[in-house]
Parts: sequence; structure tokens; C-alpha cells
Amino acid sequence: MNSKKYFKIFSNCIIVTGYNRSLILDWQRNNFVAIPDTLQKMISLFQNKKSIDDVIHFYGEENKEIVHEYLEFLIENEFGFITDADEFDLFIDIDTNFEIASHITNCIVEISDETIPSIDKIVRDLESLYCKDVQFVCYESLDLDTLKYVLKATNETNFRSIELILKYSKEVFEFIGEIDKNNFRITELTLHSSANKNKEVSKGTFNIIFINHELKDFRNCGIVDSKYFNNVNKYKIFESLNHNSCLHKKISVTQNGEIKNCPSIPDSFGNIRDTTLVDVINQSSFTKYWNVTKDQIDVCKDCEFRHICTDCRAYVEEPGNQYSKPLKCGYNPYTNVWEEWSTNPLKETAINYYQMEQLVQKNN
Amino acid sequence: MILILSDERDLSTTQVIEWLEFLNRKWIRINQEDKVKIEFCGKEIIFKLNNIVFNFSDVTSFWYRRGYINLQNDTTGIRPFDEFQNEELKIIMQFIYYKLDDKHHLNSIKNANVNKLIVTSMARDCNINTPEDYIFSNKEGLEQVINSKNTYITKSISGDSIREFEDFIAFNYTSEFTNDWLIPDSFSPSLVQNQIIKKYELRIFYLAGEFYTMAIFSQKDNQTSVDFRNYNNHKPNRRVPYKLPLEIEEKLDVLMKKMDLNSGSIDMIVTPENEYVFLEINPVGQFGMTSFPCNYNIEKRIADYLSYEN
Ligand code: SF4
Ligand code: SF4
Repeated sequence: MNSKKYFKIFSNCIIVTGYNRSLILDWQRNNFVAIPDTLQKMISLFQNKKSIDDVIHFYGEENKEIVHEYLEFLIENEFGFITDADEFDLFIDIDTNFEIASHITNCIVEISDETIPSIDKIVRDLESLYCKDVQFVCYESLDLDTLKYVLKATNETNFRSIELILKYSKEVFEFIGEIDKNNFRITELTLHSSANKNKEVSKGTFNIIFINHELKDFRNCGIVDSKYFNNVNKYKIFESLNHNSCLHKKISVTQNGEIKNCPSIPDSFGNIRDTTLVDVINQSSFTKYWNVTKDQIDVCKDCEFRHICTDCRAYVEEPGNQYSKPLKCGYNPYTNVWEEWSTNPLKETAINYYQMEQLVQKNN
Repeated sequence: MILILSDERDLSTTQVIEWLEFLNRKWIRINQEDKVKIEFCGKEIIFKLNNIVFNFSDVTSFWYRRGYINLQNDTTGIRPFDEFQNEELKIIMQFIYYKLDDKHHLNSIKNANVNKLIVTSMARDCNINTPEDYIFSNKEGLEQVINSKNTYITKSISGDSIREFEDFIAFNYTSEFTNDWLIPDSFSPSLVQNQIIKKYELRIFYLAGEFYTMAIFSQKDNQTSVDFRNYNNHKPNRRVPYKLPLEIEEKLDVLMKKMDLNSGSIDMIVTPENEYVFLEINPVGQFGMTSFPCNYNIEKRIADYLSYEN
């Protein structure tokens, strides 16, 4: 029997190696920490079943203290545990498969004169695809009758979340208290164009967010910022390990009724007037981005944040290159510095290409 | 068609059904809250509940998740008649449950409640380590056996953990037995076991010969070291996938077959000496708490199992 001591990382802590440093994604505790390259290398020795003595030997007696300090850090934070040779293999790796009982998990519907007549049909289609999260976006002011109609159309559904993004109007603002009486499934309401407007609302059954600037189209989407990294959950990480973290199992209906993977991606797969969502997802090219993972994306593949990040494929640094880095990210994994993306001269061409100049100025 | 017997609140049933839907399978869920009517047409039995009508012969597989079939029958109001009718129906229900077990099935109502004492005894027969069981109802006997070298715990024999009193709820957790307890001279029979020192606990979900095992590290937290159902929400204990040694799997497999169970949750403890000690089996226990942290997706495995057509 081997009496040597070993160390093993709990398999629900996932180590993502970046260019200069790594992250331990602790999804069981909704948390992540950055660790230096040296520690990551040491962990990989342990994970390859090198005993603690072997590892100390590998680094030399003179570094023994450092090895112990690192081990202490890992044990103190409960990222791993001491074990023996026999037991080591019983702690098997977690299966990182992503399985979900939905053909489509999330949908974006742009509300417009063109799409309103199809809302019922869209909702029915989404139900048959076992969709979980739905977002309705409207850039123009929405009259109350139409809003009530949308609420009614989604009231008797099984969606896990329904978000509304609407333009601020006095009418809609005053109706907020009535929303959950019409539809108790609403989970979030965002009002854009709400600069200098009354924002006093009493707490209700859903989140309310005010955005000062006006949303004119979907070009606001896709911003990568460290403040969005706070949700370290299993589904997000496992989906990202296997699929595209934004576009997998997503479907959208745009203002013109076009069915797309995301409203900002040019490829259209038919109009909701004359086809169904079910038919569209069966077209093989519809899922073209679904299995593009961060490990294939330029720059991102070297980034330690890649599996808690969103992979925007609609706006990229080099339009035309399928594997280009998301445009709206200001992070550089080679220097570990965050900078403002919109003023980066290297991104100017892409910003002009997507006609975002105005948008970028306004948001700054 | 897949028939599921459950109760209204069981989330795991709903999650398995989501998979059945996704896999395009026909299913019917009967909750114990549903009032069920049964009509007999010779060799066929027709079930009616909440606007659903189905024939017994259309059931291809059956999942006994929990609960019972809440049968409604028309009474005459004449006591002797009704009592006779009830007796007759009881026999018929027995027959229906028997016929359900004849189909491709997961678990059975006849094993819904297992007797802890019998199971532990059967486990010993299968050469599985178990704690030592003592049952006492008086102080004298207790003091003779209990020695100061070991520590002991006391737990409920029936396994029922929650009792509601008028203005409080008592959670009947496993608790450590200490000398300063005030013990009356006689008391209602209580189960006392020698306490097993644990390195970690195992929660094993058994599904038709497959083992989905999770190790639970809870020693770190004093608050949870006796029974991890004493949840500590702030810092969840580590729960990670684990592969039982083959030898243990084989013994447990024998035990499950002996008990005629093809699914259930098994609790074990691994001691600092790497001994595997069996604690209990819950045939209708929750598996979501094993499935999620280990990404076993047991809900889908059950849906696949039920979808199997022979
Ligand atoms: S691909 Fe980009 S623009 Fe489209 S939904 Fe994702 S983040 Fe937004
Ligand atoms: S470099 Fe890529 S993975 Fe890293 S933060 Fe930016 S977009 Fe996300």
C-alpha cells in the first residue's frame, strides 16, 4: 500500500487556464478566483496524480514552503482536499456534458406592427420547443391595448422567465402596478428613454430597470464587462464548455418578422408570416454558430474569463472572420488589463462597419 | 404510454416529464391528490381522472415515484354494503398494483416503505458493514450496553423526520447521544447506534443496476457533522461525483435485488479507515440533490429507462 499523500481539486471547481493566469470556477458556490500561472501548473501536477512529496521534489526542497503555502490556500478555500493513492481515482471527474430538455432555451421577439399579429403563433411555437426564457423588446412607444395583448398571450405559458423591454411612456409607467394582475409570470421590466422621467415605483413581483438613453435597435447588445461575470452557474459554464455561450438554442424574431438566431446577425431564415419557428430550427444552417465555443475564438481562447463570458458573434473585431473576438470587449488577456473598447483605435473600422459611431458616443 | 404515480408537489416527477415531453413520449401522471375512477370492461380496466381517460392495456411502462391511487367509488350509504364493496375494491387495487409491477417498471408501491431494522439486517447478510443497532425502552438496559469508549447516536426508527405540533415543528434529526442527557427510567423504544466516525458521506442513487454516487464532505462544519440534513446554506458542503469500489457496488446490487428494488437512494459513510458503512435505503427519496451537483442528469436517465419498449 502506498502511504503517500495526494491532493485533488473538488471536481466542481473548474480550472480555466489563460495566457498569464487562470481562474478557478467554483460554480457550486457561485464564485471564482484568479490564480497565478505557477499555482495552475502545480495543480495540474497534483491532478495528474503526483504525490505531494513528488511535487516538492519536482520544485526542489528549497521551494517546499511555497508548495505548502499554495496547498494551504487551496485547502483553506475548500477548492480541494488531501487524499491517498487508492482513493484518488474514486473521485472521478465531473461529466461536463450539457443536456437540457429544450430545443430552444431562449427567444428574443422585437415587437412591431409587423410582428404583433404573430405573437400568439410565436408563443405557441416556443411552447412546443420547450423554450424557457423569452424577451420582448419594443423600440417605439407601445399602446396599452397591445401591451395587454402581449401579457395575455404569454400568461398561460410555462416560460421560466418573461422580460419586457419597453420605451418609457406615461401610460406604460402608470400601468406598471397592473402588470402582474394581467400576467404574473413577468420577471423583469426595463424602460428605456427614461431620462428625466419619474422613476418612483413601489416594489412589485418583478425587477424594474430604467435606462436613460433610447434604444433604437438591437445594436446595444453584446457588451462584455467584468460586472457581468458575477453569475458563475453550472448551466452557463457547461453550456460554454460545449457550445456557443450566447447563440446556442437561441431564436429571434426581428421587427420585420424575420427569424434569425440573433436579431443582429444578418442571416435570415424566413418570415414569421409564412413559416414557423419549428421549421426554421430544422434548417441545418440555422445552428451554424451553436457549436462555436470560446476555445475556437481568437484572443478569447487565451482568456481566463472565457467560460463565464458571453460570446457575441454579431459584433466582432474583424467583421467577416467567424472566429474573431467580440468587438465590445475591452479586455486583453495578454496584459490582464481592461480598457474602454469603444475608444480603442484598433476597433474603429469595425465600429464604422456596424454603424455604431453614434451609439458609442452617446453611451460614453 | 408511460404511467407515473406521484404527488402534486414532487419536482423530480415534473423534471422527468420534461424529458419525456422532449423525447416525444406519451405519459400520464397520476398524483395521489387526483380522484381516480375505475371502470371494468371484462379484461380491460378504464381509468378516469381530471378529464383524462385511458386503458390499462395502453400502459407500456410504470414508474412508482410515490403516493397511491386515490380511488373514488360510489357508495350506497348502506354501511354493510359499502364495507363489503370497500373490501372488494381493496383486492382489486392490489391486483392492479400487481399488474403494474408486471409491466416494465421502476419501483413498486409494495416497497414504498422499507423497515429500517429489516434492511440493516439484510445488509449485514450481504456482508455489508452497518452500525450496530440497539433498541432500548428502559434506562437500565441502556446503561448496561453503552460504554464510554464509543459514542452513540439515537435516531428515529421509522425514518420520519418531521413532526408538526400545535405551534412548533420538531425535526427529528439524528443527534449525538451524551452522558448529560436526562434519561427517564423507561421510555418508548428508541434506536441507538454506535456512532461511525466519518471521513465523508455517500449518497448513492441506484437505477436498474447503475450507480450514481455522490460524496458529501461535511466534516469541516461542526454544525453538519452529525447529519447533513441539518442544512448549512451559507457554505454548502462539497458534493462531488464518486465511483464506488466495484466490490461495494456488487454487494449493494445484491441487496437491492434481494429487496426487489430497482431504484432508490442509499446512504453510506466512509470512515477514516476507508470502510464503507451502510446507513439506509430510501426507495422514494429525492435524487435531485445528487443529480444536480454531480451533473448526472438522473432525470433524463429515468426518462430513458421508462421510454424503453420491449
Ligand atoms: S450574438 Fe451578440 S448581439 Fe446577438 S444576442 Fe448575442 S451578444 Fe447580443
Ligand atoms: S477576451 Fe474574450 S473571453 Fe475574455 S473577456 Fe473578452 S470577450 Fe470575454
